[in-house]
Amino acid sequence: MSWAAQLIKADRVHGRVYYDSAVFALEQEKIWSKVWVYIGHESEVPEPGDYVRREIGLQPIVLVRGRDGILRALYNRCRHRANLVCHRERGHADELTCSYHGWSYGLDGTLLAPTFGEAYEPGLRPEAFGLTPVPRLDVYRGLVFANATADGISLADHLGAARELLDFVLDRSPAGEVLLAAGAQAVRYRGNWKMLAENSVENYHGPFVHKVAFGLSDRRAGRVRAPVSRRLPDQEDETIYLGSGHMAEFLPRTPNPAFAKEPSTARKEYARALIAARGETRAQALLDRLPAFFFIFPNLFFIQTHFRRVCPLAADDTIVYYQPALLKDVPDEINRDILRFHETSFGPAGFVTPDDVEIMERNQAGLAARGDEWLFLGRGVGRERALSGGGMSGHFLDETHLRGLWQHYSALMSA
Amino acid sequence: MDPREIEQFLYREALLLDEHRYEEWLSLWTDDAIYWVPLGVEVEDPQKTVSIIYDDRSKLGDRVTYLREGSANVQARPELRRIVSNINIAEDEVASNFVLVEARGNAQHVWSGRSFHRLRQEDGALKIHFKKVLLVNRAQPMPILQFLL
Repeated sequence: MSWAAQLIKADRVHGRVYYDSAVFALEQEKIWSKVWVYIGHESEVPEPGDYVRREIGLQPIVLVRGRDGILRALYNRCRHRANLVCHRERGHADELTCSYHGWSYGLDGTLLAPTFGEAYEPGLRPEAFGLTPVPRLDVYRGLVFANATADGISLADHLGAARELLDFVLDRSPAGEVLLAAGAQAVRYRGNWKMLAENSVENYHGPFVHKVAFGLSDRRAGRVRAPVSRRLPDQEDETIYLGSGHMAEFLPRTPNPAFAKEPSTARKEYARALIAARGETRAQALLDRLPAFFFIFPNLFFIQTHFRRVCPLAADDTIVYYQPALLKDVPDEINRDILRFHETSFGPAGFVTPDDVEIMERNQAGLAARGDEWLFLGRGVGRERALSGGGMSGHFLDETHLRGLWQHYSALMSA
Repeated sequence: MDPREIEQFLYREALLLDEHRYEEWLSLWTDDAIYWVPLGVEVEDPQKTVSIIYDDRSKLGDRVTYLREGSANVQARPELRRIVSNINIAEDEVASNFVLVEARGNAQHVWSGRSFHRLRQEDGALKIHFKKVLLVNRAQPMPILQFLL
């Protein structure tokens, strides 16, 4: 039996997958270096010379737009002695210059010349010392992904069924684009990165962890929520495993909280623009329905107002970035409402995030009890159904999608 | 305004915050209040970029409800003490520094920053109608912020 198969069963996982540093090290090799990883958005680097520091697992990279307008992902490591070439989080530069010994690179990574170059053997070719590119970079409607392995499935194939969910989010802009340049809150927590993946798409904890936050948002929206026990037979809401480690929650009957208010002039203007761009039926769905919440394996999550990027630092140490997704070509008021709704829910001082973070940290602490090391994921095994295309659908409070995630993880770690 | 009155006001506000006396703290604010904790080194337009907190009076009320009932549902209330100093009184704004120690769970966190208060007399009392808090660590990943600055 493979190592991963011993730690991951159909309805349970062993605590080691969250706390063992050897598992974490293996993930770098088997997951982060193999799959498509979300690294940012085109709107963060709109102009030639714009760059942001990012990472693929633990590996530092820089996402930079060249003079030719092309986006490149380059390892953030000087070819001389491995110093970080870009040490600022973001910036604008004509060339990328290492602070240590002054080696300068073009925006496409080409070494311009080593400083005091006469000391090098005449045969030293600058082209052999360019910044190393990350083997693959691809963009899906503005979202930028990189892959540290040269071959393997395309980004489109990796995204698979998740593309439809992304499209729903992006189609809400009349231009079909979101803007992720409004900054990102960042929270660092003492827990494993996979807890964020699970907690983000799991509904079961909501009524317990977020009781008061949900009450406040219901009151604000003038909504009355039935107690969870009475909502159990409802089969319109679902958790879905989409394949490739991707997971979603569909809550089609939950009104979009961003549009719970009386329509203002700006809202009417936005609705008109959206109908013109998408047609009446699609526009109405985009305006009325809360987009599905979804996690795109291994590090991207969308919910309500924002994309969430997960950055593992160690088995029990993770940074999460909460990046509001503003809509392109809408009245300012629409985006202002997104920002204000976002801040009261998410980030270090929101009404939702801190409780989740506290719970994840306590979850990590609980793993130190080693009497029985299994975490149980059996909720709803008897009431889930297979979907065409390999996915699974479960009740909205069940763990169907999490079981899918772990089987995908197990397959990657065993490969 | 009398500088000593302003100083005493800031010290009293600090005490209410440290002791989680949320309702009393809320009564220090005007109805048109804005409570703003910006994000990032360069402070940008809060209508165009995301902040850590940007509350009007109504959201501030929700925040107080959440801190009183919500986080208590999941979390132990942190123990807090802060020092307010380096007070600088200008015509329309009072700037001050703070250092705050938070004990939560089994860890102790230190927070620091500079606050900017805009105050006015209302119904015979000094009230806050705008407060901006520039955290020292506002451009870094941070732990959760489950108390009031």
